[in-house]
Amino acid sequence: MKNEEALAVQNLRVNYKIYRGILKVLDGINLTVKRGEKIGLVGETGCGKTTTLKAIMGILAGNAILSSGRVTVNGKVVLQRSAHHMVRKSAKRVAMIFQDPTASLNPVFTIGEQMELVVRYAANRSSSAREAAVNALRLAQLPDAERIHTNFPFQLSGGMRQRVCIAMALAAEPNIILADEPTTNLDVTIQDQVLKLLKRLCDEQELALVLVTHSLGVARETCDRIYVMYAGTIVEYASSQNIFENPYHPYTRGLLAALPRLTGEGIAEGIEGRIPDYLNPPQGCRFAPRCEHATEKCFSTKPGFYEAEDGHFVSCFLYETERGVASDVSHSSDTES
Amino acid sequence: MSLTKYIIKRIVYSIGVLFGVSILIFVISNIVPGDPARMALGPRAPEWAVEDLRKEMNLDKPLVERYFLWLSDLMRGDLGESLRSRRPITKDIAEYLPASIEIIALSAFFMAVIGINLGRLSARFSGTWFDGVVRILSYTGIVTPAFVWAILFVLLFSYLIPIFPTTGRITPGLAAPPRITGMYIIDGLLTGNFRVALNAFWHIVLPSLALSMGGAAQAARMTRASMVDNAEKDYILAVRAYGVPNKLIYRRLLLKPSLVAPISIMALDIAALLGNAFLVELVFLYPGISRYGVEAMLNKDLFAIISVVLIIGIGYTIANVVIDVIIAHLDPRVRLGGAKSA
Ligand SMILES: Nc1ncnc2c1ncn2[C@@H]1O[C@H](COP(=O)(O)OP(=O)(O)O)[C@@H](O)[C@H]1O
Ligand SMILES: [Mg+2]
Repeated sequence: MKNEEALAVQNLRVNYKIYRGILKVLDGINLTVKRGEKIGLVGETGCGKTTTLKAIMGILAGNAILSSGRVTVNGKVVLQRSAHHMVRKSAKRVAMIFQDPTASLNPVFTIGEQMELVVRYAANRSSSAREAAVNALRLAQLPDAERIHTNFPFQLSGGMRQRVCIAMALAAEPNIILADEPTTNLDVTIQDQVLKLLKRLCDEQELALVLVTHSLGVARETCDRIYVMYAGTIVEYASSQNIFENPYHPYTRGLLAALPRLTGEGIAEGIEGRIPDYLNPPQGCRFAPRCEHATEKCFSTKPGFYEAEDGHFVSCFLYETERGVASDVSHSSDTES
Repeated sequence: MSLTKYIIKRIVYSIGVLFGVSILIFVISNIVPGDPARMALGPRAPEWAVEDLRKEMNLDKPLVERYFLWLSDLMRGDLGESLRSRRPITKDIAEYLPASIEIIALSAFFMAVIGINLGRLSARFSGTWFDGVVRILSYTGIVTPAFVWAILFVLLFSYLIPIFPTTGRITPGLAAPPRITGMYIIDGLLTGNFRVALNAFWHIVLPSLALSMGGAAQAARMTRASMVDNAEKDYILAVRAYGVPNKLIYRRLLLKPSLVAPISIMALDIAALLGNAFLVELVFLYPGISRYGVEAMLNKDLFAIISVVLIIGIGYTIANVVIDVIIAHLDPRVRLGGAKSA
């Protein structure tokens, strides 16, 4: 059981159609999460973290185009690009916590009404929905859960709202939680509490967690493994410890170098240049224009994944001599390790 | 601040505004050229008769004094006498206002029901042919004046397909119900004259529909826009991901937070109905307050003008208070008073 895959994302490509053309945002994302495993998805703002999570949840925006890829949740395919159309099923047992707790609660319904809907439809319980909701609120350490159940979102503080969102995620009885920068919009003083709560709940209930953050520090504190994302691609993934102690990809190295003066925004201050334009992304490695080691090849060809150490994968030609793995099978080799 | 307090404040405030309006109208109607007494009596009346009427109406006194005379009369429930009908204006209003209230109430109902439902459905089926048809209908509804709809409806549903009566409040020959409120439908129902009530209702369907078209079109656009906007909000994405059925989402979870904007706009539209009703009342030969008001203006029937303006002001206030109550019902932030913490 323990080593089974809870979530697998394979070769996910998502474009957005806009007035000026087509934004080629996600360029072949691969990731796997084992049952009970906590992974961090780290990258600067605009690199496609939210898009990845929304694709997994099946709630991509109306102008999104899935050009290739497959998402498997608990062994069931929930999103797939087949020859002519997109197959989308609602992903049972996956819950998502959004970045802005205010925007993720309906302003005109009580917390209880909203949670009971989740209990009813996501967890498929129609009896005792109320108890289940109140119980979830207690699990999220909300004092006076009975009262909060009857409150409207605006009557709660930001921190409490995010706890409510965590409770709502729990009420769906998931085995995977996707958390999209759950603490970015909170007071600094409570960020840590909320993160610890999330971690503890995942540990206690053996839930898999995908924690999206733009802070490597936060990811290391919470997660077993870290995927580093750059401009719609995964550039490196390894255990949290390895990423910190032995980063390979020039982008990861830049991120770590910038870490001490990192204060939320401007994650990649240490690296020259900006995230590429998704209308005309670089043909080869998306990081090449900003990379000091870039060669001709980097500009023309997309790098695959190379296993620099056991379970430590880098998508960079600098490590081509290491054991190479084609990107679309990387997830399976990962499972074996 | 609780809702009751808010409403009381609103009413007090409106009374203040109405005072201001009364002064303004008083001054304006005294400045515009034309002698009301002369106009009332006609060009052939002898000068002494006109002079007598002027005295009777206090027109020979200074403006300020006249205003206070009028105000003290108002406090006693006396709106003065109409120069045209030569009756107390309260009598005229008691006759015309209930007829207008019936039409306006039904218009408001049509506006809300047609507008919100068309908007809701075109949001749900946005991008389909249905959405396209509603869009064209809405633009047409917004740019076409109410009296054009009135004429169109009469042609279509009274002459071509004679379903509805063309004119009046009630079929000639049918006796009006005993007067209680002056509204035939209500009075008919109260006194058990269901035939009369139904007949009166049948008479106001077309004029009300004609009056409601612009507001309904506006409401449909607003409802759709607001729903399409909110459909991309995280709280809707979340319930969608959890498998809550689309029907429930569009009827309840998305509709409720999206109604505040269209209903606020509707308050303005409903308040404007009293003013817009004139030509529609003319088309249907319907004895309503708008016609009365416009005719009073054309004849410089001083006190009648002021009274009608005040009534429109009161109607506006009532429409706003009612809408505020509905919005408070929809939005807990209004109902329970401001956010506790940001
Ligand atoms: N619905 C959309 N239409 C067009 N562009 C979008 C849409 N959603 C996201 N994007 C663009 O896709 C890129 C990735 O966005 P997002 O996934 O939100 O990144 P992140 O969560 O990492 O900040 C950004 O450049 C953003 O502007
Ligand atoms: Mg994001």
